[in-house]
Amino acid sequence: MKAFFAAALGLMLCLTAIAWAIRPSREHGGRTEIIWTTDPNPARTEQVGIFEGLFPSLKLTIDSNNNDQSKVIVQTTAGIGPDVIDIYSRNQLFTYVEAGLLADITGRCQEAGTTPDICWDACRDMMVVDGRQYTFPTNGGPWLIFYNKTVFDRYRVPYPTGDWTWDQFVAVARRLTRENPDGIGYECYGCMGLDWLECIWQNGGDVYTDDLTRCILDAPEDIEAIQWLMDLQLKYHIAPSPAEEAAMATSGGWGQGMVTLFAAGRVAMVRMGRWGLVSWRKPPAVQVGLCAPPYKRVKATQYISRVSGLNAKSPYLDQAFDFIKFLASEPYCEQINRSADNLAAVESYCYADEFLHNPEHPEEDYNDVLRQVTAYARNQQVSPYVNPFVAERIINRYLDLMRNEVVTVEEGCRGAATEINAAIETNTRKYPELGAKYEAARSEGRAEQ
Amino acid sequence: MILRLMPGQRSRRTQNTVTAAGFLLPNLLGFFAFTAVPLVFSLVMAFTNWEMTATRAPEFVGLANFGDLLHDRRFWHFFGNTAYLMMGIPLSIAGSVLLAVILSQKLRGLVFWRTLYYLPTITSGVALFLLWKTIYNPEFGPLNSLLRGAMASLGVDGKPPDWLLDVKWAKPAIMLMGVWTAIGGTNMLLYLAALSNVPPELTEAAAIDGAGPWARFRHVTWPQLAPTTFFIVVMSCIGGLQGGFEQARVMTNGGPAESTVTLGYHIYMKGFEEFQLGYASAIAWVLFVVIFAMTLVNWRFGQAHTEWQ
Repeated sequence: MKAFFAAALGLMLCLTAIAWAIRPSREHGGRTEIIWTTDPNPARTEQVGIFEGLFPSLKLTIDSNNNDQSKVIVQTTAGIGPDVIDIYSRNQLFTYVEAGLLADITGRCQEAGTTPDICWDACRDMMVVDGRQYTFPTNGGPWLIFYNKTVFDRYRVPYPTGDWTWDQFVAVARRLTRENPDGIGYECYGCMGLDWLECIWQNGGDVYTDDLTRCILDAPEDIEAIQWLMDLQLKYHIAPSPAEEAAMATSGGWGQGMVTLFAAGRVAMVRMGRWGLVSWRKPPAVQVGLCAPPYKRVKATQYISRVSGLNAKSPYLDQAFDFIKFLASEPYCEQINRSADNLAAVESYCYADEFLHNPEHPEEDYNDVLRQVTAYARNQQVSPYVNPFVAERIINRYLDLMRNEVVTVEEGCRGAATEINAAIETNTRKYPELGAKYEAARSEGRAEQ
Repeated sequence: MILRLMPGQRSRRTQNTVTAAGFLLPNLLGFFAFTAVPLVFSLVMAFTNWEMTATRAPEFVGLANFGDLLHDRRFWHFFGNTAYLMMGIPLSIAGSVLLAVILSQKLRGLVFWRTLYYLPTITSGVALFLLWKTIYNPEFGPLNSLLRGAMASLGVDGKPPDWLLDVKWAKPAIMLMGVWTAIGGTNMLLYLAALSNVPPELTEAAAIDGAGPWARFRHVTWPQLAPTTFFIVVMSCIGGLQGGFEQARVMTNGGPAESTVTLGYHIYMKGFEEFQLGYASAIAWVLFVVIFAMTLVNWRFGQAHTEWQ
């Protein structure tokens, strides 16, 4: 028995030694491997080909299994993170920067000419934190209203032109909403997917004060905006209720379900980014039109951008910076524009004639609208005084309560603002450095008033 | 009298000890690396303000995390959610006993029935949760189709619940699914094993004395199952306090309005969504204390009502 156990121990030690010896190398026949955590979009294969063509000494490997935020943070903190990290929101960007995960690439970018100046204005907020550049956008673009022309034709409703108010939007959506002949459920809904934050902006409100020290979701314009959004579902019945959304989203998550429903003509208008065309271009192609979102007081929409940053602890930081150059390159930006994976972040490539008149898709005669809306699209505010994920959770909880009609919109907005402001107060009391920054911002704000 | 080892015996004993330690070493290394050290580390973390996303170094904050926890309304809300879901435990135990009694009879296709009822236990949890999510779909789910049909035939106005999308119904829906899964699971197997150990002469004697089926079960079989019931209650309570994460993650993402977030889910949210690892560790240790206390109570109460053989 002793001999058996000794052999087992010896075998385990041998296996450990073998595993150590054959651990994957980052050098492949003179080429250095760069690891990029991103989503498993099929377009990545073509993008990898373009990258490796531009930088033949590098091998780009996609790691979509470790793209989750918690994995990125844990692995990068532990020193085994990827070289290039994709970031999907400002909350995430601020979190990564605060955790010291991202390399400051300000100097390198100035040298390479990959600064925010070459990008759309709205990109800047996703690239720069406290005056330092940490990322470069992989793509970006505004949320818009896409409409299904076949549905509009079926119900003889004129196509929207785009410069429209909330009231006009509701009127159009009501004409497009049709119940099933048996009276159970709806054959077609007028609209789907409108966002609470954009509604607040369109009504002249915001989530925080300009100095980001206080949540103002309880402001009258915010309450009015969210009430309007709830009314679309609960009063006018022109948008599916949460239950109906769940029922209709038959596959691939909510967004994917909405894309499918729109294509099937069961929803006439959806709030979507340009990437919706990736699905709608596939045969049988959907007859699509697009226009700017409606508004009440201010024309507003959210700019949605995916950006890439470099791992500050990467042993291949110099090589990884070539990826940033790649993102600003013409072949990459053209691929983004051509494939409709949103818009290229480098503004000049969206002013090429190929963008305005894509020879492969001549029916897409609306690309100028994308440029017009991008000009005023903006990013969500992030207050440094409250964990953005805590604030998001509080808001989502109250939105759920409002949708369930457990609280009124006014109660919900007041509740959310009170809780977020309480969290701000707790944090600024708990962390003296943050408290000092908070007080400075408050007194600066008061002085400006 | 003091026994002294001879030099040869001493060296043999040392050799044995070294050999034993060598054999135990791989396991011990794993235990220390993946269990003991993280456990102690989490206890230390519970007394710090460590946030993984903050550049400031973690500081020792004493009992502050535990103090904050006492005043954290969300913690108590999620504690309430956990306790609510645990109300399904007695139901699932009763169901398991009933099923085990039925499946211990001489039925046709007994192996088939036993396998059928045990299937949910060996099926992937995520697959089950997705199945139930479809069952609970408010528009085209079979449950609501059935309810709508029943309501129409009874002439009742109104609409069936939105289940997982309704703040009031999401918890009962998850509890119901938990009961369904647990009834035919390991508890049923344990009861089947226990039933096979009930001496048949006891029930036969009771029958000769004129006891009916219910009286035989109530006064003969059930007391014989007490040790098994005790074990199942203890394990179910521990599982109930720790559980609820997978269901909520897959079926509701904790919603609507965090009505399905349990303490286990709260630890995950605090630790890996808000990255407040110090606070998350404090919650985990409070949960440990609660589980320990509940097990002690169960043990004391159970001992008094259980006859061990």
